[in-house]
This record gives sequence, C-alpha cells and structure tokens, in this order.
Amino acid sequence: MSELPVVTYDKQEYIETASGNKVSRKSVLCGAHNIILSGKTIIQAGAIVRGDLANVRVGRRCVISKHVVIRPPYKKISKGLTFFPQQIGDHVFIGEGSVISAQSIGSYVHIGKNCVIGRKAVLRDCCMIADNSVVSPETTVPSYAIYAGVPARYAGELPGPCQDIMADYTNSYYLNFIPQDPMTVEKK
Amino acid sequence: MEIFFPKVVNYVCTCGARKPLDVLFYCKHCFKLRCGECVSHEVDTHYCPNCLEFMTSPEARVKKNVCTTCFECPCCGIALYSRGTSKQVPSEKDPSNMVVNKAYYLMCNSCKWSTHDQSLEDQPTQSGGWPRLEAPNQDRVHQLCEYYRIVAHQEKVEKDKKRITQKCGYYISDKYGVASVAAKKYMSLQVTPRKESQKVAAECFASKASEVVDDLPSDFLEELNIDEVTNIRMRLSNPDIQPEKMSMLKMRNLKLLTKKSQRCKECGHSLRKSEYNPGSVKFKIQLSAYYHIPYVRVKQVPNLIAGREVTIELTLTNPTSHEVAVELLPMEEANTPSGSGLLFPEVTCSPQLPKGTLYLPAKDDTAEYDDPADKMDDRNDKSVVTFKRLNKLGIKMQITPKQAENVAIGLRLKHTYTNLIIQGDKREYEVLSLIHPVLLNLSHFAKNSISA
Amino acid sequence: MTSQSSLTSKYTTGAEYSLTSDKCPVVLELGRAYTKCGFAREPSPRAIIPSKVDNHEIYSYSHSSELPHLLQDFLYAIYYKHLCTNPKDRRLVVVESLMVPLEFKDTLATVLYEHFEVPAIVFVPSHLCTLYTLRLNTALVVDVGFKWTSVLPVIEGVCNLAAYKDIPLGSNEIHRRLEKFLLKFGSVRCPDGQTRFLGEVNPEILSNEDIVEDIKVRTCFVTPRERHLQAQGFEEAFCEGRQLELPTPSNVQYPLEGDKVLEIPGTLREYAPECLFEIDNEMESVATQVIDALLLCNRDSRKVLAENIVIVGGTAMIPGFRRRLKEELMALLELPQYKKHLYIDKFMFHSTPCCSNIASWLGGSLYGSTDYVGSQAFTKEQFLENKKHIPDWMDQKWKKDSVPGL
Repeated sequence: MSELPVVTYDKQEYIETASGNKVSRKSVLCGAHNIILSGKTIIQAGAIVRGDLANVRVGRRCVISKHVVIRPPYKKISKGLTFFPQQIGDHVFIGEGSVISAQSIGSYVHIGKNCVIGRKAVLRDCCMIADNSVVSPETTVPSYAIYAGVPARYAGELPGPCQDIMADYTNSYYLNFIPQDPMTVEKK
Repeated sequence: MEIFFPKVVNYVCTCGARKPLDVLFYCKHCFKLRCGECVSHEVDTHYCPNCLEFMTSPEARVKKNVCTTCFECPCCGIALYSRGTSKQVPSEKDPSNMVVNKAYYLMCNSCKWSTHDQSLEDQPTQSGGWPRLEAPNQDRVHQLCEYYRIVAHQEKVEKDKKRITQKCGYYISDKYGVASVAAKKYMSLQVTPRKESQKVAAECFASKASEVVDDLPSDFLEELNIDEVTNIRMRLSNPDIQPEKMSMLKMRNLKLLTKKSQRCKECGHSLRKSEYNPGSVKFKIQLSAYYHIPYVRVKQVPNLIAGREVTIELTLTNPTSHEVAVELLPMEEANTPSGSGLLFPEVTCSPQLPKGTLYLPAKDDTAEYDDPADKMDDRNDKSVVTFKRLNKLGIKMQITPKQAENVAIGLRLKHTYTNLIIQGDKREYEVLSLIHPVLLNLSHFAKNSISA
Repeated sequence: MTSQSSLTSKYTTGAEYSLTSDKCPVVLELGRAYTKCGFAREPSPRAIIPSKVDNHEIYSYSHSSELPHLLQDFLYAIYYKHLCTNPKDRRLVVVESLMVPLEFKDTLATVLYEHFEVPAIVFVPSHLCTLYTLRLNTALVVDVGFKWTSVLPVIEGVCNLAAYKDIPLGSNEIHRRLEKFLLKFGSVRCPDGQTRFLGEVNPEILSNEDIVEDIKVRTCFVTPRERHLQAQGFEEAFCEGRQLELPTPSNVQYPLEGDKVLEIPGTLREYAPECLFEIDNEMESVATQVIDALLLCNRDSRKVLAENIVIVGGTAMIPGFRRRLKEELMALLELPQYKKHLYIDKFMFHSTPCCSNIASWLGGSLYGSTDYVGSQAFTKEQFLENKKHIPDWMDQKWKKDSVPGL
C-alpha cells in the first residue's frame, strides 16, 4: 500500500469544531440540530446531509467526500411517508457522489464513488461497496463482503485485517487533511 | 479495491508468490509468511447473507447450503423482500361481516419481480411457508440412483465372491479358523439392499427412443420481444428447469455464505479462526502478517526519468507491541544458487539503501494518531529519517532508474520479532531475526498518485 | 396408527438420505464454456458457472506454467463459494471430455491432490456416463458443445473408439458468424435519434463474448430444413440486401449499453446457427459426423445405434436443433453414397431426464452414487506411484476395470 497523499484545504472554507470535525462551508447540513458528528469526521464541499428529515448520527473519523448525499430512509404509510433515523459507525469512508439512504452503516465500511445505497439497507461492520454500485433497498450486506454491480451482489471477500486497514486509512486521511492559509498561497 | 488489495508493495511469500501484506498470514510456529495458496482453508460455519442466520456445517449440508427462509430473485439474483397486503374478505363466522386479512408476498426491490409473477399464493405469515423448489425429474433420478446402486452392489458381491473362492481354493481347512473368517466375510457380502430401494429400482425402466423430437416452436417467425426472453445467467441459475421465458422463472432459496478458517499446511497450526456469530467481525485466532511484520509503504516518488538520480520516501510501520529493529538489505545478497537477478525478474532498479539499523517504537493503542510529530530516537540516522510519528518512521533513499517505465525496486526487510513463550506461569520473550524480500512498484505508485 | 407408521417410514428415509449425503462425492464437469459442479445423487448441479477465472478461460492458457494457478483459483471458487464444502472431506468424480489434453488432466489431478488434498478422484468419460441417465448400454452419443461436436457410439457399455468422430462446430462457430454479420448489418439507433451501422458506432463491442452469447441464446433458432432449402443462396441474398421470397423472421430490438438499441436482422437469427449444418469444404457437417460414425461401426450394430441416438451439450438447446438434425440425417440417407452402405430407414432419439447441457453431469452424479467410486477411484498414493499421471481411459489398466454397470 502507499501512504495517502496530503490533501490541503482552504482554511477559510472549513469549520473545525471542538471535537475535531472538519465541515466545509460549501456543504449543506439541513436541520443541523438533528445531525450528530461524533468527532474528527470530515464533511467535504457539496455534501448534503438531510437532518431535517430525521436524526443522522455519524461516528468518529468518518470521511464524507464531495457531493455525497446522506438522506434518512423512509417508509410509506397510509398517510404519506415517515422517515427513520440513520446511523453511520466509526471509520466509514464514503466516496464522491454517492447517495446514502441506508438505515444503518456499521463501522469500518468503505463505500466507493458514485454508489447508491438504497433506503433501509443495512451495511454491517467491515464491508465494502465497489465504485458505481447500486445497493437495492432493504439489502443486508454482511461483514467481510464486497458487493458490486447494479444491483449490487456479493462479489468477493475482504482480507482478515480489514478492520485495522480501514481504521488506519481514515486516520491517515484525517491526518493528511491539513489547512493551508490563504496568505501563504498568495505569497507563493 | 486499492485500499484492501494494494498493488504497489508486495511481500514475497515463503512459497514465492508476490502478495500484499494485508492478505498474507504469519505462522507464529514456523516464523514464516504464508499466503492464501500455501495454507489450507476449511469451511467452518455457514450463514445466510440476508438474515444472517447461523448454521453448522452438518445442518447446512442437509439443507443443501441454502437458507430456508430467504429467497433469491430469479432475474437479478438478489434477496427478495416480503411485502404485506391487506384484503377485505367475508368473515368465516359471519359472512356478512367483512374482515381485513393480512397476506404477504415476496418482491425484488430492484427489478420488481414478485411471487405473483410465478403465480404463487400469498402467505398468511411474513416469514414464509413458501414451497421449496423441487426438481421435476427428482423421481426418475432417484429410481436411476437406486438401480445403479444395486447393480454396483451386485457386481461387487460377485467380484469379491470370486476373489474369496479363488483365495481359499477348493479345500478349506478349518484348522486355523480361516474358514470361519472367510465365511463371515462371505456372509457380509450377502447383505441384500433394502427392500424399499429394490422396489424403487424395479420401477426404473430403460429410456425408450422415439422418432418424434422436440420441434421448433411454430411461432418462430412472429415478433420476438427480447424483454420476455431470459438471458443465459437466469437460465443457468436454475439448472433444473433452465427457463427460456420470463414467465417461467421460479425463485430459489438464497445460497449461504461461509466463514472459513485457515491452517498452516506445514505445521498444522491454526492461522485464523473467526467467531461463530455471523454478525461479529472478531477473530478467535488472527495471525495476519499485518499484525506482526513491519509494513513498508511508499510515501513519495518524484518524476521518474531514466538515468536521473531521485530521492524517494518510504515509511515503515511497526504493528507489534515491542520495539523492532529494522535493517534494509539489498536484494543482491540473496544467497540463491541461481542468482537474485533471475529470482525477481520484475526488479528493474537497485536503490541505495540506508545502512545501519532503524529502530521502530512499539505500537501504542492508547495514543492519539494526530499528535504532532514526536521526538526522534537518537539511535536512528538523522540523514535517513524524514519524520517519526508514534510507531511510524519515514525514511528516504536514492534511486537511479534505468528506464522511465516499470520502475520497481526490491529490498530485503530484516527485522527483529519478539516472540512470547508461555511455559506454565513463566512468560519469556525471545527475540528472533526475520528476513522478507519486498518488491515495490514505483511506477504503479506514480501512476496512481497522478490520477488521484 | 397408519399415519404414525407412514411418518416413521418417512423419517427413516430422510435419515438415510442425510447419512448418505454425508459422504456423497463431489461431481465436476469442466466444460469448454461452462463448468457444472454439484454433489452425487442430486438431480442437478448446484451451480453452472463460466469456465473462467477473472475473464481468463481455463482452457486457453498460453503457457503450461500458468495452468496450475488458473486451476487453483478456479477450484477454490468452486469448492468454497459454490459448493461450500471442504475438498478433503469428499471424493471427486470428474466428468471429462475425450478431447481434454493429457497435460490438462494431469495438471488438474496434481492441483486437486496436492493443493486441495482431495482423497480420491475418478475420471469418467462424458459420452459414456450420459447413458446412466437413460439406463441404456447401447447408444450413439452426439455431444454438441461450445467448440466441438463429437459423436461416439457406445455398444453394450463399451466405447467404440474407432468410430469416434468430431468436428470443430459448436456455439463458438455461431458466435463468430453472428459477430461478423452484426458488424456489417446490425444497425444501431443511437441516443441522438440517428441510425448507424454497428461497425461505425463501436466495432469493439462484439469482442465482448457475453453480448454475442446473449444474442445467440435469446434470439437465434435453427430453421427447418424445408426453409433452408427454399432459402438457397441465403448468404448472397443476405449480403446483397435482397429480400427472399420467404416470409422472414421478425427483426429484434436489442438494448445495447443502456442508451442504444441494436436491431438484429431477422434473417441473421436463423442464418447464424446454419453453420452447424452447412456442408463445408470437406463435405462435412454435424449431421455427416453422425452418419460417418455409424458407417465406422460394425454392420450389425448400425441399426440399433441409429435407433438409440442421444443428443447432449448446451448448443443442442437452441430451439429447433433436434428437428433439423433428424431432417438432415434423413436427407443424408437418400444420398447414393450412404444409401448403399446403410440399411437404415429411421432414426430414433432418446430424451434425457434433464436439460441436455447437464446430461453428462447427471450421469456423473448417478455414477458417483454407486460403489464404483470406491473401487475405481484413484487415490493420491496411487497417483504419486504412477509418477503424477492419471491413466488415460484408453490405457490397458483402465480398460480392464472400466465401463461398469452398463
């Protein structure tokens, strides 16, 4: 494996909270009071989190990439729709452009780019969704499974230490996500 | 996939295979690396990928490795989900009164195929009572099975009879009790197959040939709607009927997944054994190389130009809870009879490796990862080390690629390994020295970092 | 009382099943295009999967050193993903084609014995074990596979190898023809509303064998001989775009890459599989192979073989195949060169109790349920003793104890 490259961001663009969350000002957090970020989680530009629909709880050291949409799952009832709270565990990476309507996502989960996680899907700890996959609604993805394709099906098995690989990955992502003062950029 | 199956750094397994450290095992008893091909895999337990129900191997065998409650969409192969409907039906007690009757059917959330398409009745309970798909030729196969079993048995009896009579000849002396043994064996051969199977076998008639053959459907000139015809995957996923039309599709029970354990083929010790609970991600035994062998990563590679010396930066990570002393040795020293050049033909460039020993501090699980870089260890050569953070050390070295493409370097990673020996109450540590060849594909790294 | 006794009898048969299924051997047929794997005693394989590892066909390896790795990965998937069983626990029945090179067979055995530690293996020839599914001991077996069509007469349980015939005709040939003509004549409706030829839009697309196979499976059929005769000069007419006097099958709208529609000419749907029955330069076709095999047989056995023909193989599942084969055979009988030698007036066919692509697998499954596996299987020790070589089924030793039960 290679070390992750350093990603610099404009210090003005990101808000760093007391618990170390880094949230882009260009992201949209609807219903912010319903969104809990447990700490050291990164939310990048263009991401949308729909806390206005139901509670969204995101664990520690997650990476929510650009243009990700996190939208609590719904269920049809006789009078319209009802939304359910959504949970995302620790050390979860969500790739660019993915739409997440899962009911719960465990810890150490890697979701690729441009995925759709259908409503009420359950992603267990330590699993992986390959790029450009569509996990259909209500699907359960078991631990150590790789799901890929449209609709996403079982495609392989993750290596044994994937829990620590994921933890290491999100840790170094956070570590290498460093601010750059606009002043220094101008000087250069 | 690059995260879990990286391609840049490969360790050379004891068997010679090049694999990333993440998928390798480290046998604590042989002190050697083992890859997926040099360990034996055993199926431990089965579980349903959908409802996560756990099943032991004998149980799964009886159930033919399928989940009894979950079903698979015959079109797209994903699990079907139950949907409830309520119908107003006249009450049984009082026909004039209408009652709401709940019924359930199964539907695919992706292609919307449902049990209605198979003309199955809705079920009164959510979890099932769905009929299990049976092979249409089951009875015939059963008959044939019994028939050939009896034929085979009779043949065996005759063969053995011949052998025994040949052995004993025409004269049987009972002086040493041989005859009784032979007679016993003879008797055991006489065991006739069960009456039931004989009965079944007797019904088994030879196939009758006919002049009539399957004809081409008469509508072959007519309009063909491709959406009504199944594709080959749908057909083959149900080998019993292999439906040709979408309307003939039938759902099957969902196939189980397995949890496997690994065992070293040489010493027979377990290398990995997972918890039985399918929801658990823990292991009872986990001897992945990832937790025992220092991890080499590539941090920085400048533009590679043939003939120009450049500095590359690598990192070394110590995954163990003991300090590790690392030495980087050149490939050339590999004492093989055929010479190292032939051993690793993919190596195209030899680096100027730092001399001397590098000390990697032990891994501290309680430490916070993003503390600022901490103090250098004085024993390490400051001209080599670029940074130190907890159990990770950055080092630099020079390389002069001979070509611009396919630049790969090789090195031998020599490191100490602290082995804990428990004898009764005594805990002793022994420090071993291990060497693993490591291959680094720098061009692959460069390509990836540009695209990223 | 009666209900109870019937319950117990049901229970005992159930118990008997589960006990015997404990030891049921694995049955494996590594076909050219598809591999069938399952357990003995069962009516159908557990899985039918493409004979490929990461898009690499297991039979088309460039170097013999590649093969063990390919087979290792492939068998790993079979045992652990599709069968979910430990290879060590069960004996193995391999249903093998006569065409399989010795090198492949020996490598397969080495990988199975040494890497997967399979206790014992028995190889059974596919043509022969097809007969188990019919309870026959004499038949003419016609196997129409992916690359080859092969014909082998089996008389009283003995393969008549001298009369073995084969020809490189099968699905592969149909695929090539489809590919060639679709590139020329397949028109594509593009998202912009324009209609272009496939060759202009994306000439590479048909190198994806899966698409060609899908088109064959879903749209092609074997036309009756009568139509074939009426459409003589078919190819020329087709190439010139001239309409035939016959009513043509409808064109098919085939969705391509999500946003395009490929129009498959109706005539191509019936023309592509014609390659199986066209007389080639050597005056051969699938049908002539059957007749030639008969001619190579003993005069006495020709009639009985002609009246016991078994057709197996995936390619024989194209609609209309059987009818056409019979018509072609009848037509060949009228030819002077055959009429003189064959005193046959009819052909009769058996139908296997399963789809024809799994018929030989089912034979292996039936074979695997008997005691023969115990007496005939080759153990690892025997294999090593025999210098890592599996006796070919034409070897003397094999011949001595082969063809049981038929």
